Amino acid sequence: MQQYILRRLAILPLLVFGITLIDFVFINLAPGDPVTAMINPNEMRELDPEAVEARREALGLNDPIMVRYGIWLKELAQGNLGYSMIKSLPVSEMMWNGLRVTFPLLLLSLVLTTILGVVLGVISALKPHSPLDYALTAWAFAGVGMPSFFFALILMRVGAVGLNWFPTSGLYTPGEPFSITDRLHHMALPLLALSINGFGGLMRFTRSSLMEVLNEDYVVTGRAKGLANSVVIARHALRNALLPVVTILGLSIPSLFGGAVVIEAVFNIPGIGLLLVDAMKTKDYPVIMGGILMSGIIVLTCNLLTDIAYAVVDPRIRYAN
Amino acid sequence: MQIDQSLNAKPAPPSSPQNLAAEADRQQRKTQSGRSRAWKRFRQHRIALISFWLVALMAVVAFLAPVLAPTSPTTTNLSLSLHGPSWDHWLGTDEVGRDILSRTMFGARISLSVGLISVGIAVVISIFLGTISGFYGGLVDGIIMRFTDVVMCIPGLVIVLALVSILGPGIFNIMIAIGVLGWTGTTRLMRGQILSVRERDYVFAARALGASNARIMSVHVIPNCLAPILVSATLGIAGAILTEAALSFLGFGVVPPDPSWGGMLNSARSLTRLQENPWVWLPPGVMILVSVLAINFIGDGIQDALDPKAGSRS
Repeated sequence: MQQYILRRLAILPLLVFGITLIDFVFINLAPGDPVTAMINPNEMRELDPEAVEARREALGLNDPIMVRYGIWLKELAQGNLGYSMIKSLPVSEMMWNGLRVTFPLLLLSLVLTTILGVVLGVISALKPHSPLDYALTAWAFAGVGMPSFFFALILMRVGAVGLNWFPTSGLYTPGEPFSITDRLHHMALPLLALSINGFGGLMRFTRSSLMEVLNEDYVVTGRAKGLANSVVIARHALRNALLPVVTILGLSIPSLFGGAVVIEAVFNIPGIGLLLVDAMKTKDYPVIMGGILMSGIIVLTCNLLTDIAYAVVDPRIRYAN
Repeated sequence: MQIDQSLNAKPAPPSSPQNLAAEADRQQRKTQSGRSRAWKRFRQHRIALISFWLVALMAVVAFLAPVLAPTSPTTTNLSLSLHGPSWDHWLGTDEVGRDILSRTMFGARISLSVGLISVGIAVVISIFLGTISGFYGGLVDGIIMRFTDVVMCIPGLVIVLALVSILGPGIFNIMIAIGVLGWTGTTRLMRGQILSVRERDYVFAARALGASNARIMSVHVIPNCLAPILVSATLGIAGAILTEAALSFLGFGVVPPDPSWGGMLNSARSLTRLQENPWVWLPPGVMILVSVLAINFIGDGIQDALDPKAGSRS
């Protein structure tokens, strides 16, 4: 177990290094450099080219790319992600504020996806080829193909504009003190929209996995020795059927994060996604860079947690090493 | 093609490479019948078949859009602003009086071409990297696979958004961004395929006969690896259509006034439009949903057709 986790941890720095490398190369593809980006193009013409060059030299932009990468990494290691060119705030602070909004959203969406997917999948598997099963399967397929932003618009139209049950945007009611109910009230529609894509796949997976397990010898044995059906399902079949669910959930994190970017933009939720979209609109490269790095690290962390969780729930993996 | 291999994998005398090579050649010729058998199984998959004709119809409409569309998708007419569906404009008009039906038809062109071309780029990269990785193994394999791991860590939409914001909006940049970044999953798949196929007897036989690496790869190994790639590519088209729609929806995609489904949905971000003029945003949204669903079903159908054992999954 320990060895397994240690091995996973050992390749972590390599992957983080890879992400920083891609991030850095990416931003260097962008036209212009921070100096020209900071200067109003109208003033640029009147500026002394030598002064611009001096500024470039002072900022180290004339150094070879490897040197610049080294400098950037050193700053990064000290937690310095640079400053936003538009809002002149430290990027790390903006990221942290965004993360505090996005993380609960992702987490709750994972919980919602899991509950919906597993419960509906079990119902489906227990009554295979019934009308209910077909209805749920159709619903799951629709969920997989549904563009989350289109679903978000429909939810907004029905739940917020039509029925007026939920707010159309934002994360809290302005002027009111923070409360969990107010937060959840605002997060309800975004959460539903964010979970639509994930639950369908999970449901289909749970269904086929459970149906397979139901034919296993130990399930037949359980029934043969007279165990109640609910015990056989819950304690024997489901436990084994759900092991791979951990992996499926882990694999869905990157697309969930991508979904959060769009959903945050639709509902105007000030998370890391909206931050990124705004930064990309204004070409605020330090923020884009920080955002790519953060999203990579979030996914990496989630992958690691998934692997560990898998080893915890499945003894076969624990002892294989 | 896969089926043929499993059917024909009868033990041949390993001492006669000529026999095996001949067997491999025979297999290659027999893929024709394998293909027709697969097509037969595909037709039995009713939803996949309906989806196939649906997508074919969409492709025809997209191709013939300049002929079929009632009006030009970009001609504005402010006196017709936001008219509801009528006989003149079946799906109504948008805020500057453009015909929604025409725009939806032309939108299919963008969605389908972005889907096809970006997946084409991704598949070429995947086959190239996956083949090298699987065939040479060792250090090359390690480097390519770690690189794949790293790219997979960054959420696809985020990195495509970043690339498009650097390259600038526009349909070609979207195709390139989605294609250049969408190869990771398929590359892993291709590598796995190569690893399993290169151990087949007919590959050893070809090597024993003195065939060069290039010939073994191009004639014996790669063609026998492509079936799962086809499934993955089909599903990739659906994913690419969704990504393009999301990009255009966020304002990073196809440049207005060119009609793209995601861009048309963008107008529903205004609450009055959302509430009062559903005909402006429902058709493109429904089209994205329908095309993605249909392409996913086709992918499922192809998978079942090529791998009958997995066909019972529901």
